[in-house]
Amino acid sequence: MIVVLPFVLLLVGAVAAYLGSGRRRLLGTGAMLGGTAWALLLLTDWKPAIGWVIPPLLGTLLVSRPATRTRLTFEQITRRATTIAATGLVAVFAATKFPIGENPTLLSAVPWLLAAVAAAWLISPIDEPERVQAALLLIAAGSALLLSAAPAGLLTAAAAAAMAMVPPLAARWPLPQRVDSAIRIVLLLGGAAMAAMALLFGQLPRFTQQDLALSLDGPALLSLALLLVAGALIGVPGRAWVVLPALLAVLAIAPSLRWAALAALVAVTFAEQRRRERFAWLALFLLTLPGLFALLSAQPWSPRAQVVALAGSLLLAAVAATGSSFGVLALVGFALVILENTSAMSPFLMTRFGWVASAGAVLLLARSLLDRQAKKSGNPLEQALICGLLLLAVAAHDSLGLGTLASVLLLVDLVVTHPGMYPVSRSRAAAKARPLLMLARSGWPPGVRFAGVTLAVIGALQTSLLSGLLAAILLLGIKLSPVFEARSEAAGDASSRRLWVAPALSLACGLAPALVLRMLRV
Amino acid sequence: MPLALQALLPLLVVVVAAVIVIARPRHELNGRVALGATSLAGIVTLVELLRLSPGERVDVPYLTSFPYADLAIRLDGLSLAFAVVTLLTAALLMLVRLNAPGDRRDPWASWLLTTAAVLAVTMAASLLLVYILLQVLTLAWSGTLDEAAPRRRGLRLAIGVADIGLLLVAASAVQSVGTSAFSGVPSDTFGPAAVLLALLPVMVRVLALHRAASGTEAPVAFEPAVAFAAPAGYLLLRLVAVMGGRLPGRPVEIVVFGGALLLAALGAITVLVERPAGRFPRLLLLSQAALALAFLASSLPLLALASTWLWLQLILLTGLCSVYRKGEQLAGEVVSLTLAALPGTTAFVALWIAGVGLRAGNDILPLLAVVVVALLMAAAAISRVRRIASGGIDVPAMWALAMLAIAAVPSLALGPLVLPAAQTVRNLPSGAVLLSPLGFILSGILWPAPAVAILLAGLLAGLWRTRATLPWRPLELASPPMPRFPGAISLRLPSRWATRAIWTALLAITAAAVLRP
Repeated sequence: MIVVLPFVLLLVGAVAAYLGSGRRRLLGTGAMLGGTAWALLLLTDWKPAIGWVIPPLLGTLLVSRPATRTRLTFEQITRRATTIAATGLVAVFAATKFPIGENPTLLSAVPWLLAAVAAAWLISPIDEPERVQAALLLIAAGSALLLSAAPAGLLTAAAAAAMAMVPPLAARWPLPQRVDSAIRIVLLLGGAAMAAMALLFGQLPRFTQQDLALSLDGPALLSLALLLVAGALIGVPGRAWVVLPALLAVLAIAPSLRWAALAALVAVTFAEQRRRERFAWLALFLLTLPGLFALLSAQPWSPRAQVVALAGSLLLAAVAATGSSFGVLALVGFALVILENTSAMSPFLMTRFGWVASAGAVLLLARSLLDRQAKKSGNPLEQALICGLLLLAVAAHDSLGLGTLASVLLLVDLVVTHPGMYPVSRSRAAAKARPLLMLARSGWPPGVRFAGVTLAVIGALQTSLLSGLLAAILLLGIKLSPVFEARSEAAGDASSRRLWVAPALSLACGLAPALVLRMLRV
Repeated sequence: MPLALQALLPLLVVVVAAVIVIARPRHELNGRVALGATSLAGIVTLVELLRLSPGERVDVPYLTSFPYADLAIRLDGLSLAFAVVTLLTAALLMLVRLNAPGDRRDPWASWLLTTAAVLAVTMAASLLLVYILLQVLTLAWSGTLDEAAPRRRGLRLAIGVADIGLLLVAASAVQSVGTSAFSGVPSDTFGPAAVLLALLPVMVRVLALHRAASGTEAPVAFEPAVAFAAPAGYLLLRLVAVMGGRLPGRPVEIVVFGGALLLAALGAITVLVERPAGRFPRLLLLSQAALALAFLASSLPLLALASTWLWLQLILLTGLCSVYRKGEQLAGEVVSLTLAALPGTTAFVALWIAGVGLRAGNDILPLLAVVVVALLMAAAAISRVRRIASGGIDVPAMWALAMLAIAAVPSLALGPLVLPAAQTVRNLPSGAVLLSPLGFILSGILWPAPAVAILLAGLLAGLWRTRATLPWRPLELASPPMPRFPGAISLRLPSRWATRAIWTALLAITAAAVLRP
């Protein structure tokens, strides 16, 4: 009988949250979280349950919702009802198909149902606070699912659940410009330090604190450096700190923590870009799905399906990031995680990755061209082409790691050619830096784009002739794109950090890709 | 001096001069600094070439850490000969510009950077490095960091796009043998498709000659000779050298030979039928470049020599064409005669070598085709000469006279420059070429160059003394009407349906990737 209670608590909480407002809704949300924590306790142990429940509850308190109910139109009510019905059905199906261990289905269904409620709110939110609340619940539900499938200790569960607090914190307290700038400088210094360590030491011993383990081997240090620099340069204004918890996406060993860290990054970087946000969440879902089913199902997905899911995830992340203001930051995170996941894959599996990557590159190009034809903005051709080449570069696996190197260089290019980096400014510093900025964002040597696209073509040709030719076509498009499309420039002044750091980074990576390869330790 | 420094010395000299010039914009001595540095670099390169043993190849690596793109310099007859001629042409153009009054522009930094980039291209030791340096060269001559800048955008883009062909060739070499270094690529690495791709950057630069060689408002146009003719010729000869001296397969040889001859003939015929005379040097330069390509397509050893000679003289000739000439001056007349490839000019030497080579190989049909094209070119150039006249002795005139002197004593250029370069492309049988002050002997046939030169000079002097007006006029044939094509067909797909179709296709491919065993 006791195993039904968490389910009932969740259901009551969901009904209260859906129908109520103000305090009643808050209590309902708390009840949903309490029910899930209870289920987690019964499924695993008290430690992860306790570690998991506190941060989302605190996060829920941070989301300020209006005390009165928001009046909805008939269409909105219908849409919300349809959405929750659909997500609920999917959750019930998943829970019955993939039960957690030999536990009763009603108990296993609790985290799934929490995810269903969160997804429904995310798909059709009433307002912005509900979107933030949905992101919080989705991160919490995802980590609960992964914690129940792959049990962890108190610290890991608390860290994973703490990621759920990132969206409400970022939404509620954007930092003042001065503090944000200071944080960005710290991020830059951190990035430089990580790059130096990657160059000098290559890898560091694994960090372990009780049950929390972080891996610093392979290209982890370079990934950290890239994420830190990207966060400093193109992080959401007032929320640049978000990249710090996101670092755990490339460091953590526990799947729950990795997922939660990446989800927090997605939730913040795609805020207020609803259409792109859906693609990003879908990408995250695809990225996690093979791992989750491998834990839950007795018969895990075939390796082919796993690798195709990874490719699909990268493609969807690229779709979400193309033309987005800050989405490139999330794309960097996705690409680094996927690069790490595919590093040990066999050439046969990478061929399947290559199929989806090639089709994806064509899709990105076609979407951009169709949007141009329909006179829609927000899908720049140049960025679509670079993202297409990035897909092909990740798919290119060779013994010397040229594909991986090209991927990293293209990610650096996406960061340094971000429109916010090139302001229309009449200041003397901007005028002085302008030639350097133009060189850095151009396709001329020794910019990072030149190195990236050149290596991507070579890497792709090593994979297959078709892939190489497609890469050459994309390169041709990149060469021609300035003719068809004016580059966007942000208005206003840019700090000296952006004026000098971005070109320096671009030229350093373009001039010495060998050093980047050395950092990758492929 | 260590070899690593010695190999880099010409490049260093030019780069240091460029730095000095950039640091002192509009300084009155900038021109002299540029000229001095370029000349010094040319002398150093010539010394390096003279010190090279026959057939010797020196690879000087500087950075070997990066896979497939070692930073290394290749010193051999081909690279050094092209470097010498390019530097000489660049120095002559700078000298002409120094003496040109009225132009207030300050081109020295750009010219020095372009020269340095071309020098780097000719000394690069791998295909990938050549590709990278060709992009640097385009940046140097165009000077436009902004890729969307309208200034010569079409030409820049065409060259950039065509260079992708070279990148693909380098990548295919990397895929096949793990390197694109000239010393590491076996001669049978490339197939016909790779050859056609590799020809793209060459052809675009040759066509750029046609677009840019004259007609500019500046007194001196630097790019045609230094940034287009020199890299095009070098790249072509280097690619053939990497392929072991011959194109892969007889069909490819025939296609390239026939296509190039057709292009050369087309250039000459256009000059014959076209009314305005302004474009004729550009069209005949294009014809000569096409002829050089045709010679190289044949696998006969002597034709590689002919092609090398023709390319090297084409750099100098393009430079001379790029010098603005007022009315009728000696330089202009020499340009016309050389474009006509009349006996006694440098261009004819190449024709002679090719003719002897084809005859020795019993290739009568190709020989006849070459003769026809050469006659067309001669007719086209002569049809544009109305009166042999002479102006004062200025720098272009001296330049023109020097070219005639080379044609009169070809051993001067053949021995130290052309033969080492041609030997790098294709092995010449020992004793195939015998040099003498009276000319040179090929397959037992003497080309009495000094005697022919004296005859030509006498003829020209006679025509000039009598101030005779030549009896012919350009043919004034009406150009055939070009068919008019309708404007671009605009295919407007319904955006939403097209997007859905693309996503569906993606899902189908994804399903195939998962399900197909």
